[in-house]
Amino acid sequence: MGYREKGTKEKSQMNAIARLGGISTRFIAWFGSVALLVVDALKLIATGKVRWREALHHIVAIGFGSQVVVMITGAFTGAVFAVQAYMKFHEIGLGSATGPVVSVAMCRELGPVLAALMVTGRMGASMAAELGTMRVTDQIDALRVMGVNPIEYLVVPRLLAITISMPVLVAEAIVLGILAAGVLTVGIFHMPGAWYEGQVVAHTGLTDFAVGLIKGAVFGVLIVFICCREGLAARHGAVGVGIATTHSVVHTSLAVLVSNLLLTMVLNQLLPIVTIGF
Amino acid sequence: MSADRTTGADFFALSNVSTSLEGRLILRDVTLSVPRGKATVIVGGSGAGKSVLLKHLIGLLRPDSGDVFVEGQDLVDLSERDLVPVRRRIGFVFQDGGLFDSKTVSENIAFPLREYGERDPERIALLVKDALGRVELAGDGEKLPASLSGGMKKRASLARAIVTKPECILFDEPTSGLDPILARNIIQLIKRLQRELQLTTVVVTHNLGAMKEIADKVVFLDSGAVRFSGTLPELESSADPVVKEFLAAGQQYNE
Repeated sequence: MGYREKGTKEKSQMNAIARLGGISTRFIAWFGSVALLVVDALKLIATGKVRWREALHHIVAIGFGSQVVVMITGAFTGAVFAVQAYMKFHEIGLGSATGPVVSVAMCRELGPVLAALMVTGRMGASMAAELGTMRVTDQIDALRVMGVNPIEYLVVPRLLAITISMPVLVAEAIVLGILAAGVLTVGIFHMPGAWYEGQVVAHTGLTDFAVGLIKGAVFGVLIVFICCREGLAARHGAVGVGIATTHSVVHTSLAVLVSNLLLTMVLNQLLPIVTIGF
Repeated sequence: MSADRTTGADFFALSNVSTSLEGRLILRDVTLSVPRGKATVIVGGSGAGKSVLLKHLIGLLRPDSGDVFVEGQDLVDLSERDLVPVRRRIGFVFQDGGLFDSKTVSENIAFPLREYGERDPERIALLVKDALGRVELAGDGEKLPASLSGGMKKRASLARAIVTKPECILFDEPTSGLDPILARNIIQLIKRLQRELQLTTVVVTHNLGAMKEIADKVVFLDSGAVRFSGTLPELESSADPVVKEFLAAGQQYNE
């Protein structure tokens, strides 16, 4: 009995190690395929193989198409954050800190992260589904047959479009968030408008805004590479496209959140937060 | 049968090609040649490796071992960029068309022309009109692929393949999913185009009627290996029990 229990335990440990090994191998393979896509796309850009007409088409789809949803997200996030921040700060006599805290948080974290998550849900999923469908219906092979590099035609224009569009979308989310927070703080909590504006302007630096825009561009690049990779790797018909779409949203959202921590640590060193004194 | 390199009369040659996909051996030591200007039909049961073999001819898939020659040039070690000039000599009609969903039929047909450097809009329009006429889709150029029937998609795909005037066209199951009348129309279209344009044609099918109508040469694949290669009369008089069973089953079910 003792031997049997020991054997079962060892077997279970071996299974766990095997599973961990399998997960690690799959992650390394996935990471490698994304890295190869990055290298191919950058090579094409470096050699001037850019289809600007396609890129403009995607700027319209990604940039203009995502504006409303990103602005609504920014505005309501700023407003809710202002309500919560004011309630707590007011208790300890720091109600006037609401504006600066909201503005810095919107600039450095909430604006870029939430805009990236919304664009992932809206455009990232669409990219993966479109490319996945093209993959399983031979459209990507059709491109190759006609001597067209699918990365040049499908990935590079999206990459350029999102790198241009994301900072603009993030800027809109930030501005709308700060404005909505101001409307609530002034309108409901009766903080003088000039005071709110003065505090926000005094304690929000251009560096805070720059951090948001840089993060937005980096998140945009992540969205394109991960979602395009998932789409290009889709197999086995409609089910495969569905799986690729789900993976694209999950993997990109996780990548945005994890990379945000790394970016915060690096950018806080390079572009530190303006010291707040009340 | 020796096909180490294409001879003067051959357009394609495969030499000892073996390929595995997702851990399964699909092609086993395949050696064959495709004569220039003739119609070669590759037949075999489902899962025999016919479509995989066809994709090797244009470098969409690469073998684990062996060589694929196009007029003496080995494709196996060519980069994607070096494959471009070879691919531009060959058209490919995919099983489901492979048309771009977001473009109209005319835009689909114009696409390779623009990619090959044609810039004159009037000339592009003229060539597209000519290609549409050849496949009897003259009035359907402004339709999107989603609104086309299966047969129309195949014809639009064929128009896209011929518009650049290739030397060879590869067809992947051109009659699958079509009713007998549409299938007959597609077969007649392939025959007519081959005659008019003097194309080298490779057709993958499990439709024996299509095989009999089109084939100058027949290759029979069985479980990824070449079981028979020769003319249609030679196939029909073959004593190979697997070939005989395939032909008998095809005749029994009028396929």
